Amino acid sequence: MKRSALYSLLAATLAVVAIFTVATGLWLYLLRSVPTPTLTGWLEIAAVHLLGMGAVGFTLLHLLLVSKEDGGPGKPFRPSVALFAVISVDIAASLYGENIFRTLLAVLTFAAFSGIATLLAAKATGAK
Amino acid sequence: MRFLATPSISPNMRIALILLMSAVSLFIVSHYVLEAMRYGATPQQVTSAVTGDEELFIDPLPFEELLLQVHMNLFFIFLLLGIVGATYIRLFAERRSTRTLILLLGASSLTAQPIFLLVPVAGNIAATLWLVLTLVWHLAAFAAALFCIRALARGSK
Repeated sequence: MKRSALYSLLAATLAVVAIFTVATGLWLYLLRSVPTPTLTGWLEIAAVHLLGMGAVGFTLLHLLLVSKEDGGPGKPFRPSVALFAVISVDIAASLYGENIFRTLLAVLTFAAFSGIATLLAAKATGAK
Repeated sequence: MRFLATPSISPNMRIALILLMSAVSLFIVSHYVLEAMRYGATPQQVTSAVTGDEELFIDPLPFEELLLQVHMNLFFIFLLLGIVGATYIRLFAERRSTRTLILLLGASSLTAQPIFLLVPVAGNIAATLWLVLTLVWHLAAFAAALFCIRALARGSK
């Protein structure tokens, strides 16, 4: 099997795992929602998720680029830059979001952008 | 992950990859041992740990805790699959078994997670299935990591 096809298979598997990760995270958030989150509580969550979402976003977009152009770094870095910007702003918003609806909105957009990254990877896989 | 796209792996990158694969191997072993210690190694032990046991004074685990465990495991699986899968493909793309190994690792690890959530409902059946799938994906990932270390150490790729 060609290497690019194997990377596409890997990207598709990772995309499915990412969808489940985001879905369980959202489910967990909805189960655990507290009316007045403390700054410490949110920092505990945000610190882990910055690393986690950064790793998930980077891996998906990296594999997307590799599967698109086998052998070269490719040029469409804009989606990854946009994703990281959104993640950073989103985490910052949820950190200081004492209002639960603002926080929920932040988490939902967080999940939505992860979903977009996942769909991009899945689309690239389907195109191969 | 630039090594994915380069035609040859430099000696420094080779050492870095050996260290990374060693850390991944240790993670796989420690994660399996941790899960066995936390939930047990037999279906009865897993069912007791999750649903509780009055005779042994074990409280049932809340669903939130199971879901948190699944959420964390999915993230670990994502990283594991990304690192081990990408390295294995880079080293053994020509092998016929590569596709099977990636699919086996992905499918077994992913299926094990919802089945774990079914343990409170299905009891021993779900626990048995979860134990088998957990063993399979840990073994698959461990074998892939060891193959990578061997190939990198030999310098044959």
